[in-house]
Amino acid sequence: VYSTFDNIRRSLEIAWKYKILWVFALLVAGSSLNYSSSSNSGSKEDEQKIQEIIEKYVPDSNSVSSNITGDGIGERVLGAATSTTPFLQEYLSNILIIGTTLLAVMLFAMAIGLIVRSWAFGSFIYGTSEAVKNRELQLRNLSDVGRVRLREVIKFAVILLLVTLAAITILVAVPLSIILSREYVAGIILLIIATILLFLFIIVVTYINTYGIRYLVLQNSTAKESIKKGYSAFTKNVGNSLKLSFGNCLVQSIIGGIILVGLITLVGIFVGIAIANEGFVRYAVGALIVPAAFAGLLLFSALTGYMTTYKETTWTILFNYINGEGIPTEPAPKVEEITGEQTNGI
Amino acid sequence: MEYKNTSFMRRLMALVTDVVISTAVYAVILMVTVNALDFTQPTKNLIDLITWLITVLLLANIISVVYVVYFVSKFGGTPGKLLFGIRIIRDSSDENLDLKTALLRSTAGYSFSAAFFGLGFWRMLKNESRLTWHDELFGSRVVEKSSFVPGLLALLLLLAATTMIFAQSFGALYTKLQPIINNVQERQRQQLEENTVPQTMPETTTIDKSDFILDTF
Repeated sequence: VYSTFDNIRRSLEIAWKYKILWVFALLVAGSSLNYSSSSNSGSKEDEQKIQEIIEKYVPDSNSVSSNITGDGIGERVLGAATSTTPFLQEYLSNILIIGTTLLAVMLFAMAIGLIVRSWAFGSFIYGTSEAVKNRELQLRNLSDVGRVRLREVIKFAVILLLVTLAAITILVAVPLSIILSREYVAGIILLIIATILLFLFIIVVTYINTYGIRYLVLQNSTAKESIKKGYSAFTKNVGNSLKLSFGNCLVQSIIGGIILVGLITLVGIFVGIAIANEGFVRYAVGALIVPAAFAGLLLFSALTGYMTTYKETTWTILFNYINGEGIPTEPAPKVEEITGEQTNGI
Repeated sequence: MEYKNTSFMRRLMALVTDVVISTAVYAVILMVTVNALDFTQPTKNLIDLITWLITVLLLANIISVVYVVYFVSKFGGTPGKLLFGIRIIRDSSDENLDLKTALLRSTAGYSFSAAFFGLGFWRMLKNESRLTWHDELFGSRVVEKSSFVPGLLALLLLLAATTMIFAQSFGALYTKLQPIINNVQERQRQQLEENTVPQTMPETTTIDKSDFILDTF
């Protein structure tokens, strides 16, 4: 009999026991963090650069946005064009060289990132499956599975990404085109509907990703089959899936919260000691900052590894249940223990 | 033939040699750039120099990965390892790694070993087989095939050559920048002299106390 509570309890134990999975988890979580952080910082930098260029070359740039539809915009555009032209003409080759190189490096880094993440994800999912069965984990075996399924995992990720991008484009473009054709009421209603649809779509894609990757790695399905099976698994188990998501959120919040409170208390104590004392004690506390930062980073990495392992194990257990396997409530006894007991008995 | 897995120290020295080789490449690039610099058009040249250095630094990211993967799959190790007489081979045979394994070992494998402050690299100090995590993951071994003496000699020579190239480059850069620095200093000195010349009455029209006193007399 499946129960979300048992699943969570068992996953917490498994994640603690199989610490080698934390390293795979770090790679999986780290790559996704890098993607989001790099894209965010990139866009901010771009915005800043654009703003700097505007301020430098557009006369009275502060009023451009407010006067965009007003008089004088032609002069401003002309002014900008005439002032930027000599600069662009003189250094066009420099800009082109750096731009092309930067693009090439970014594409290369993205390709390498995708390879590393896909390999780690495949190995990790297989590792959680083996851990759920209380088997001993061998780095070589985990890596081999990740390697063999690498191509399909990449294909799976790319298909889901393209479908998501296409859906976002359609759901945003349709209402916007209606708004631009001055049908404001219909456009806004459509925009609200599109936002809700987009939200639902992203939820469904997340679950397809969760189940699909397991079909792909654990049952050797192709990328397309995995997407279909992932969708089917979700639609047939909406209740259990949502319950588990809620449970995971709760557990992650509780553990994260406890650690955060602990850290804040610890930092508070040290700051308090530093303020209350002078001379050597204050310097000693100051000298602790660097090792404390390292310890904090280590703790953060371990926490990320543990929580990601825990979360993915819960989904593997649910996946096993959906496919007719129960939750192993107790670890299977080791072979040596069995033979030992038998020998003692004799 | 059965080879012995190499020690941590020898792998570390090979790594240092690889770093010195890549530093030497940068030193040569810097030397060529500095020698080609012409300060008759300082702004244009400076922007060209910055463009060139940014491009080189960006491309170094791609080149470093391609270089490691190519050397490992083709020759069984990076130049540093080859000089120190060590080779990366499969654990099942004495053959070099194939391209795919070499790529995964150099990217995913290194990332894996680097997690938790390089725990996977330090691990080879503890286990008897002297394997890192990335060796275990991709079924590879780093073995001793010949003497480390050529590596040691090469490392010393490379260190000396790189130091000389850097010294020459910075010397040349200083010589070329000297007239410009002198020029700037001269201009600053002139401006300072102009500023220290006693000024006439201030342009502001504030009432001075002394004026008031004079008026009263």
